[in-house]
Amino acid sequence: MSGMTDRRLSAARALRDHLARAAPYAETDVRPDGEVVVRVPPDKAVAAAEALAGFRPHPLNYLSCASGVDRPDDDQIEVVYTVHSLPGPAKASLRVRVDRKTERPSLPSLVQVWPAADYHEREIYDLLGVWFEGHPDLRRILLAETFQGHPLRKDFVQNRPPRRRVTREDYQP
Amino acid sequence: MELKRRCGRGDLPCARPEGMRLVEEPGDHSIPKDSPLRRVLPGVFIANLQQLLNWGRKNSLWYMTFGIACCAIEMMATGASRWDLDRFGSFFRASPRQADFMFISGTINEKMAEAVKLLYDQMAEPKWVLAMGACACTGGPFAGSYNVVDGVDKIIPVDVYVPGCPPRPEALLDGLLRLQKLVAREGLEFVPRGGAAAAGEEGGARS
Repeated sequence: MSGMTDRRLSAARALRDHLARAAPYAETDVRPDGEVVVRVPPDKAVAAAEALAGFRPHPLNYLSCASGVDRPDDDQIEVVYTVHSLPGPAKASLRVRVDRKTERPSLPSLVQVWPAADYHEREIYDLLGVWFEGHPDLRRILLAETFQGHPLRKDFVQNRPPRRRVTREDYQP
Repeated sequence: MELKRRCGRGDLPCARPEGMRLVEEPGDHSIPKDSPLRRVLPGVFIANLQQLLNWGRKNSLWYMTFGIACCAIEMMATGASRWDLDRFGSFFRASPRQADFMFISGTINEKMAEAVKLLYDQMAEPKWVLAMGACACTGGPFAGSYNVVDGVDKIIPVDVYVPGCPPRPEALLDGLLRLQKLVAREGLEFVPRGGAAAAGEEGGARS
């Protein structure tokens, strides 16, 4: 086993112990590669993020990715925040699930903890339709403002009318 | 022999204005024997004004500085010195007001479609459009996707289609030459507007 994985694993164990104290509600799981998977209910997401960011000596202060996963079998959408520590080898993924059957699935925004979550949460809102409460500027980011629906949901049905080829005669400026 | 040298350019197919007739000596009796024109023969073309206008337009097709996706890289290569669109009189203009045609060089998504239409509307008549690459022609690999327009001809009229992913610069040059042929015929014969030619298909121009 390489030295890097050793260091990451010992950091992961320290992080797991830290979370057992700082966030006892969290369900933690250490992966063989040293990633700590942290599952929390939506109302505890901000507290768990702060516990991760407050880990010493390796604060998880770098949000490298936030992604959304549609899980229609569980009727849930899972949002995964992948965070790294810039000073050390610690790595974690914070996972929060929300019921997808409601009209407006909402989760607390983590922008206040990791500012980089801004664009990521906008993208998840745009493509999967998760409203992030407390987000400073929750707008569509990739699709047009006029777009209807959230296309990366598994049950998304495209209702765009078919278009005809435009010729010079029927072109409308 | 001297006459041959003087009309040298007139013998080149690309320099000879489309549809214009080179007044030849001897055998051409359209010009009276005592006409002063005879002194400069055979360096004289007979044409109508529309032909002359088209000749000027087709050899100075300025295109808009507008790259959309990966095809734009190939378009820039075609514009640069190795393939050099400038030798056909085409070069980038950074404003739609000064452009005669535009390459649609990439995938048009729903958000970009409005910008493409706006830029097309801002161009002055006469104007032409060359759809470059699979995405601009039909949507390419993204056809049917939730956010991709299936071909730019659903938004604005297209004159020449150049398929490829991306097309080689040679294919793009061929597309430009076909566009030049269209421009040369503008207003001269009955052309069903809105018909289009695919580069690489024999026979070319609007059908």
